[in-house]
Order: sequence, then C-alpha cells, then structure tokens
Amino acid sequence: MRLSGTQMPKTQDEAALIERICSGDETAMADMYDRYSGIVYGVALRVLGNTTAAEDVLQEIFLQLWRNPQAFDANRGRLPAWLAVIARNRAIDHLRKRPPEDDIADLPISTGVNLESEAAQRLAVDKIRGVLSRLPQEQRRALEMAFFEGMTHSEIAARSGEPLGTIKTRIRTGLITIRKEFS
Amino acid sequence: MKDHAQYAEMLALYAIGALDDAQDCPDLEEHLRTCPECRQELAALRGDAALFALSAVGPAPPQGARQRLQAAISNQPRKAPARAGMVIGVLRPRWLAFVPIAATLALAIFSLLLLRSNSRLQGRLDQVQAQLADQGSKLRKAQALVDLLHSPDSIEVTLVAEMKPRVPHVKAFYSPKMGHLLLVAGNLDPLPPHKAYELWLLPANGTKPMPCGTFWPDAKGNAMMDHSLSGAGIQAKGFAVTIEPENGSEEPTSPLEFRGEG
Repeated sequence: MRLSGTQMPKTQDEAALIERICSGDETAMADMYDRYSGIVYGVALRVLGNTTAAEDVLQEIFLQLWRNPQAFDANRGRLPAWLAVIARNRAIDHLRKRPPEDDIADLPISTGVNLESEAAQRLAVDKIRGVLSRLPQEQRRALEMAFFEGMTHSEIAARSGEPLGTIKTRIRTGLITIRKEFS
Repeated sequence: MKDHAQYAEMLALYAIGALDDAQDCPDLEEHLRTCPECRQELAALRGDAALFALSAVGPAPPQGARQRLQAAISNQPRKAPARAGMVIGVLRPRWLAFVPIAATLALAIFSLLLLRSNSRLQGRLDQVQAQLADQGSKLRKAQALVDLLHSPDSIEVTLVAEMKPRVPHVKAFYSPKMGHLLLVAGNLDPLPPHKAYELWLLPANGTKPMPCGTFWPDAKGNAMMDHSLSGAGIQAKGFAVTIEPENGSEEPTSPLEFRGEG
C-alpha cells in the first residue's frame, strides 16, 4: 500500500472523510494525516516535551482512528478540534504513565471555527496566539497548567498560592474569552 | 446536593480535565446525564479548549512518522464492507416463505454467539495491541540511542580537567537481572600485538572471576563493548580488566590493569 495523499474537493466534509476510512480507503488516512498530524503532534509535543513520545501519541491516535473510525461522530463535533482534545488527553495519559482512558468515543465538541484546510488552521493558530498574548498572564498560566501540564485546579491553587475559586474563575474566564474572540 | 448553577461553574474545569476526579467528577457526570443545557455548554467549552490547544501547533512531525504510520496501517488492513447485491424475486411454494424466517432466527442466534465471542477476542486484541505499542515505543527509543552511537557523523568527546594528564578509565554498567553489561572505556594504552583487553566479573560470593568478553581500543584509546552473561542473577562485587591473548582466557593470566567495585 502506498500512503499517498489525494486532493479532496473542498466540499467534501469530515463525515465523508470518515466514511472513506470506514470503507478501508487507506488514502483517506493519508489525507487525514496530511491535514491534521500537525495539530496532534504539536499538542502532544507541548505536553510531553519529547519528540519520540509525541510521535508515539500521534501514531496511537491515527491507528486507533483507522481501527475504529466510528469513534468520531461527525454530528457531535469537528474533527480537528476533536483530535486536538484527544491528543491532549492521550499525551497526559503518557505523561502520567497510565493506560489510555476510554475517552476517544464519547467526546462531543462544539466549535464554529473551521479548521479543515491548512490555511484555516494557520489563521486560527495565529489568532489564538494573539488572543493569548492579550490575556492576563495569570489567566494564561492557569490554562497552560491545567491543559498542557495536566494539573487539577487544586494542584494549581497549591502551586500558585491562590484560592481555589480564583483558579476556577481564571480558567473559565480564559476559555470564554477565547470563544468570544473567535465568534 | 449542588444546584445547577454550581455544576455549571465546574464545567470549564471538567472540559479541560482540571477537576479533581475523586471529589467532584462523579457528581458532575451524574448531573450531565440529566441536563442538556450543561451538556451543550460542556461541548462548547471543549471547543474553546481545542482552540487553546492550537497555540501549540507549529513543529512538524518527524520525517519518518508518515512512513511508520503507513507501515502500521499496512499491517492492519481492513476490508471494505460488502456491497449489496441485486435481489431477483422468483415464485416459490408458500411453505417456503417460512424457510427464510427460520434461517433468519438461526442466523440471529448464531450472530449473538459470534458477537459474544468477538467481544472477548476484541478485548484480548486490544490488550495485545497496547502491549505492542508499548514495546514499539521502547524499541524506537533504544534504536535512537543505537543510531546515535553508530551514526558516521556522531562525535565522541571526553571532557577532562584542564592541566591534568589524561587518565585511562573503564566504566561497566551491569544488570544482574538482565544478565547484560555494557562497557565504555577511554584513554586506553595501545595493546601489544595479538593481545586484547579482557573484562572480568568478580562474583559477590567470592568465586573465581568470570570472563565477560574481550575488547580493543580504537586509535584514540576508546572502546565500547556489550556482553550477555551465560545466565541471569549473578551478583557482582566488582569488575576487573587484564591484558590477555586475543582469543581471551578462561581465567586472568596477567596482573590487573583496572579494577573497580560497585
């Protein structure tokens, strides 16, 4: 088998891509890899700080999708957003050396942001970096500690010496700010 | 029991996995089962978290990653679902109408049995695949180290204290459990013709030294050797090195050149 990418028409949506994978079309996996491996790898590398471990997560997620493409329900979220969150969760599992949680199937995600094409992804990446640069430092840090370092809000509170309620507010406000900036 | 507003406050933490599992998760998950409004907000917060995740996007995966995935997929080919064929109707005696029903029932029972069996097999398959993935990861890490050591462009630099003479040194890494050892040496003197350095394991129980392989320094005086012992579990008090005939000896025949104890 040669895993060569094919140019999919722009109108073909994620559900169609998943359908091709369901039917055993290996070029669909190549398309998916070409489009979204950067997201999965980038997130895993940010969490793990190790290229070998990040590639392990990348391989694991794409192989799992190949084996069980129905795990992604196109009606319940957008594929790249879903992959980003799955990548984070899997990387945290690796970080804590625990067996992967069974979270790949049931993870509804809702976002209005289109991330399907490479250009759209680049725009979104630039935009989120701009948004984060304007967030208050402590808000951004709380988000990073929770999302990329896998800390609970109690651990963040203990580390930063701030009350639990403050951490909770920072994380919630940070996420809502991101939503507003993209809406 | 918390009210809806309290649960709603916890959603952002839950969406990014920052809620303390033992304390709050079970409560919130119970609430989510009965609250569509919170489920909708949770999905939106996960979408926000996904956008936040994009801030990490940038580094491209390693060059070989695509090929490795290709190989892994090729090892797990999947069959396309069978296409539905055209059905052509024909006239049959009426009693024959019950044959498909009976066959369908029999097929349903058989399918249920198969399903149960399949589920058990799938569970075992998942375990094996998880083990394979873990071993693959370890293998890649080990391979990366070996590649580094053997790469033609790799350089080896020994840092020494300035203004002090270069001292010959030998390091042995040994795991009794694995029965395997690695030797790394530097600044060794050149050997006389037809001679080799030989490493000896000095058993903790005081029995005679065990030969652990011969090695030769390169032009710079560096040497590396890995060696598997004939059995695992041999405890070592220390190691020693002598100069022996190039085919090695069964016991040391010359004074110790190096000796060290763990």
